[in-house]
Amino acid sequence: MQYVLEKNLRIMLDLLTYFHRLGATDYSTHLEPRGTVTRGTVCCSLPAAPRAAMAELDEALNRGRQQEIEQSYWGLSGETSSDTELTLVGMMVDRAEIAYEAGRLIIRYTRNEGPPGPGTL
Amino acid sequence: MAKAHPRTPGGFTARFYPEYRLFALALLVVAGYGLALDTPAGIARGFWEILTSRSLLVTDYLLVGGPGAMLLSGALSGGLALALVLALAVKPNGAIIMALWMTAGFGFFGKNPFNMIPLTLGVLLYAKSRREPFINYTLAALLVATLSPVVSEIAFGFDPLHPWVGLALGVAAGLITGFVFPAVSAFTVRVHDGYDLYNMGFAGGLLALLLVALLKAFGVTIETAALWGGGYDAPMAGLLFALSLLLIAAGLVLGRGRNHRQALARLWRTSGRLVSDYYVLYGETAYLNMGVLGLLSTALLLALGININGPTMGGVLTLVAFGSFGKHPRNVAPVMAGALIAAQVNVLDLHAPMNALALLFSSGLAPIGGQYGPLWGLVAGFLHVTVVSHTGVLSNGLNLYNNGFAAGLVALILIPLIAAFHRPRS
Repeated sequence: MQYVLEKNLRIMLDLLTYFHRLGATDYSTHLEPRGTVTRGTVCCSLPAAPRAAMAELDEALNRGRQQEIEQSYWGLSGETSSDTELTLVGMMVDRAEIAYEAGRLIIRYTRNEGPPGPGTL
Repeated sequence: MAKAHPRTPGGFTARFYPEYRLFALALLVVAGYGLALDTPAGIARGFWEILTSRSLLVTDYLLVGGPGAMLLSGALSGGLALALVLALAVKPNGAIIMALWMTAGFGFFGKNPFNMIPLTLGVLLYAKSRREPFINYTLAALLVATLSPVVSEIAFGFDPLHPWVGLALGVAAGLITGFVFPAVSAFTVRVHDGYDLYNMGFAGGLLALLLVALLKAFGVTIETAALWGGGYDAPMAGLLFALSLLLIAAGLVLGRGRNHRQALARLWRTSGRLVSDYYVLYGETAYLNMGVLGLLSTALLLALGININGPTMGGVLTLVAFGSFGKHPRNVAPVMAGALIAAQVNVLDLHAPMNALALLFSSGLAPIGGQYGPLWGLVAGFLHVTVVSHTGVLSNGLNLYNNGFAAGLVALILIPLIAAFHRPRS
């Protein structure tokens, strides 16, 4: 699939922007391309677990991948001023885990870079 | 909150989600209404006229084929779009719902089952050339029909050509246009930053401009079309009201137990900028939003005394369609108010086709008002009306979503200016 690196970087930038709005510090990212699966991790430091934000992230990022939206609109991801970035990011990842460990908010996401699944043209 | 459906590419029943059944029901209502307005023989004759028309913007199928044939064209165009979605086992979301309803609406003036297919096949060829699944390009495949007039004009509008040669060239032109469309449309969304909801129209306008220039370079000119029908305001308004109420009823029935008031209040506070998928975010409440937009826009046409014909019905259904993907009464009101002011003060009459369509389709810039406030929405709407008359000349009617092209240009110029001096509201 084309633009694999670009799309993942834009996803990470959107998530970092979200962290920034939470007042987080000490951001870090990690990207693991493994064949047709990409795993990304984005972390930041927060003094306390942001329960509401974690619930919002969990809901937005686990709504389900929508490749038909992604193909047309992925160019809008990676923006820093939009109220809609989580919606689009959620359409671009297959699964995400949200955790708060030792003062760090951690998002681990998975993207399948191959075809969407059996039975598709 | 609505969760996206899991992908179930199994049998037909599994793919025929309630959202698609609702749309199919709406198409049956449209087709049945058409049968009530004309005889089967009249509809058949009129439909043949529609299929073989040049279909340039503005070609009102009400005038070309009569009311029954016009409604049949809308129903079949929507039906083809639905068939594609079912064949690809696409799960419903706001964008797909938008594309389905919009296709049906444009089936009243410019899109028809003949001129849509080559373009969609062109997108399929593109997907295969990239070794990617066609489903990834579903939206492009549905909305590439903005350039449907390319197929019809070349097939039926170039007189010196033998009919079969014209037909073959028209189909070939559709395949080529459809082939280049996905790449262009994926790029243009970055140009206006998501503030033009009709991004596919912006891409279509650029391609149409290029095609017109190429044809002119070889001495081929396209005569514009201005076919604008009327005389059916009451029955067509009735149909639009019925479809709007059907959506509201569907939202209430299918979304039983959902707190629609609270969800609508949150929905109406969004900017609407791409990607605002109201169906994914708010579930069946999106249907209520769609229905309300349909009621309000139809009432507006009646209040202003604007003909309710193929193009304006398409405009209403486009407003309805985007009720699932970016529009709501609070963000369309300022833009349409600005458009109305421009239509009142410009040299044309308010009821002139260009003004009437620009008023309805100015709502493509709704995110500007939604993000930056009603005053900027007003400015955007005003500028849209003044720009759209010129973009129509550039594309010679080959781009049905001409308002999308104009909106993209307005957004491209206005957004950087606004951003330089304003902070967006949160």
